[in-house]
Amino acid sequence: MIAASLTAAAKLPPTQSAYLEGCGGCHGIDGRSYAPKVPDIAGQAGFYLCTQAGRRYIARLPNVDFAHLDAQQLASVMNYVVFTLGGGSAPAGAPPFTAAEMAAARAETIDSPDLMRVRAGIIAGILKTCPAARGLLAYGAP
Amino acid sequence: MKKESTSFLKKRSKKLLTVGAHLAGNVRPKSKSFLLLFFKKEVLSFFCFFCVAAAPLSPETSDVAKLAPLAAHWVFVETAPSGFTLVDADHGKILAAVPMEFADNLAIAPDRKHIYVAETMWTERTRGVRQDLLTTYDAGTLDILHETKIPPRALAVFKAQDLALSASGRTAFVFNLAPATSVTVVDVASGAVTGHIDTPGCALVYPWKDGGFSSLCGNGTLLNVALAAHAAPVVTHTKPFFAAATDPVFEASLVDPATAQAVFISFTGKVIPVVLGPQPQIGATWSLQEAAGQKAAGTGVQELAWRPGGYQVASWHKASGRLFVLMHPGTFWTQKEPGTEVWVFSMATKKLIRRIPLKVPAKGIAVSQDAAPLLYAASGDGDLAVIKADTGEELRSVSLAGRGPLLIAPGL
Amino acid sequence: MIVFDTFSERFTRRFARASSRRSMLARFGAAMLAAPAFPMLPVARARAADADVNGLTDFERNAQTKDPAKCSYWRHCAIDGILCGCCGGGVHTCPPGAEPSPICWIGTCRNPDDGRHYVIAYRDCCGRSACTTKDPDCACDTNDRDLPIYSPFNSNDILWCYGKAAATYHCSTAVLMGQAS
Ligand code: HEC
Repeated sequence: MIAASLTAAAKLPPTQSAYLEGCGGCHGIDGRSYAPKVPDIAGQAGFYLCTQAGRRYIARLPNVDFAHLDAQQLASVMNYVVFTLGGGSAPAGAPPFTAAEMAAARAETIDSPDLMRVRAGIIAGILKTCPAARGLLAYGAP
Repeated sequence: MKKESTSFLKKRSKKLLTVGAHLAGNVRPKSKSFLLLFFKKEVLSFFCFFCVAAAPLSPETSDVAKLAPLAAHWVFVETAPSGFTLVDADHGKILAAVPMEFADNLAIAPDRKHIYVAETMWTERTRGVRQDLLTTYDAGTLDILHETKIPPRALAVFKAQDLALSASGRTAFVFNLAPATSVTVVDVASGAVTGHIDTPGCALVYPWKDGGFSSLCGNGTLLNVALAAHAAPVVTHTKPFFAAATDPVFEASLVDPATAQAVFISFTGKVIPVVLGPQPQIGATWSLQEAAGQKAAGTGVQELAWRPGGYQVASWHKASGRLFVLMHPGTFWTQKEPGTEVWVFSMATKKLIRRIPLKVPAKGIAVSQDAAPLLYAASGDGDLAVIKADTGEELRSVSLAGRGPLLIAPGL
Repeated sequence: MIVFDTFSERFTRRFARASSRRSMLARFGAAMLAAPAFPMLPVARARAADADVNGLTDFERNAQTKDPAKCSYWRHCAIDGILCGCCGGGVHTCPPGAEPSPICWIGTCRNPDDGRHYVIAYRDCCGRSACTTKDPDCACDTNDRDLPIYSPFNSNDILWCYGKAAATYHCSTAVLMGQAS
């Protein structure tokens, strides 16, 4: 029922292993959560790189930053999320996340009592340049 | 319908015996006529059973017991799925039960007049539409006075910090885990949901003295939410003050809403006092083991030491500044192992005062807040030990059905 | 994640397992109030073949690979709940009528046969009232690397029931995802 696209290979690649352990429980093995209350990553997480604000938003999300990974590992996981699981949703030429960028993002918190409004604002900005990102609106819709 | 039944009961209540009061022995009958009534019905008829020319027994009517005001030595024990069982610890007697399912939460109003239960159910048992409610009970009659519909609340085991009341008792905070985390704010007087605060990466509710709450976060910080009547809530974070990945603090850490004093205890046994508020003041850390003259415990998976453990792992006696912690000998990752002893510390001197061995290992403890405090230790399997907190003497043990590591005592 | 009425059996079992250690501790107990340090006990060489035994947790030292319907089965290093294998399901199978939750938490456990760590998805089966059994080997509360619920991706106290069915916990599975790295 819950698809596992994992093969019986020797070891999981380190980044995929880190993604599974830190993120995959919620976001799903393939980036599809199958739950209305967790946004899908598959085919759409890359859209956040359409704007600087979007990029900064996902880099500062607590579920991302509080992972038990160092900044380099976290950057690798984020790149796996936006470029691999994101399946072409990232705009051409978008630079990958770096360890320095993730370390800086970790030092900033999102101090808002209404994260969903922050997200809605970010997506509104993204839709101006990447209209294909409409799928992001599915999460949080009533 | 609920209001009607309440006033109906109020009228009848004069005629009813205050059962709890008699059991507890701490509320005297108000008048002689009451005493007489009691003697005539209950005692005389019993003795006259042996009389030669007994008067015929008088017929009875079915009535409903009413509780005396919640006494210092009463405690609610989570006995899911049958309810929260109210136990009179002085007599080891069950006084009443408040209905609950297994992940529901109960809180006692500071004035002890109301009891709140945050509960989750489905329209057709485990099918149909999910309903989450904050239900208000009258603490004397256990009549339901009000039901507030709330968003789906968090379902996790044995976390008293899922539901908290502000110091005034006017505001209830309900923790949600969708799995995005947030807190629902309810004005209990009007029964209205007045706020919904996102708490991303942070969980549970530790209420301040007034106007807000804090939550524990996955990066070792506290998230602090200041609520204002007519303005947007203001959110801040502390600096990290504990190691969330390697030596996290127990969820069941302590907070006194009346003073905003909180005490967080880590898996290895570090104690971190914090005064909560918009800018929490993090106090100096001390070690449970060092306070007992031992080496501070580390995170070694084969490092045997006395460690805090269980679910409701600690309690305190606020007036005397004593901290009670469930301890067991074990290695790291035994943080839920039941405690074989309760260690009592002075929070002022940071010294061990006493070790109380438990006959039955316990998963939860609570302490009454009166001048002659009782320590309650729940096995998680229905055994509740009642212990004199000042001496460690076990007074009695009460056998209840169900689980019960969650204990809610008035004033805690 | 929930255990209903089987705590005492579990206690008995866990205490039985650790009883020699505990009786030793009892002897030290009286003198320990003022004792400067805790006496370190020798490591139980539960698995003589296991060269790597020194860095292992209590669970790992007692883990077995033969019977998946027991708490001591190696994959169950952090399960707080009833095993689905005791309820008509299996180690990755929900019992009839129950729904595997689409979201769960994922940890790692060590296989004692090969000494490797594997990624394990702790997926709850939901939508039916809890499976109950009095078998102490079925009601588990193992907590290697389990963290409080403010680290939800590592927490076994959460009722991980987020599917279409009601969020009522039925039992727990431990699905193998692959070898950790
Ligand atoms: C406990 C469940 C959980 C875990 C674990 C988790 N996330 Fe998330 N994630 C969410 C939720 C819920 C949201 C929606 C925003 C929010 O509430 O934080 C989200 C949002 C996101 C988004 C933005 C997607 C969108 O459209 O809003 C990204 C990207 C993301 N997470 C990546 C990660 C990564 C990378 C990890 C691991 C390091 C991770 N998440 C771990 C639950 C989780």
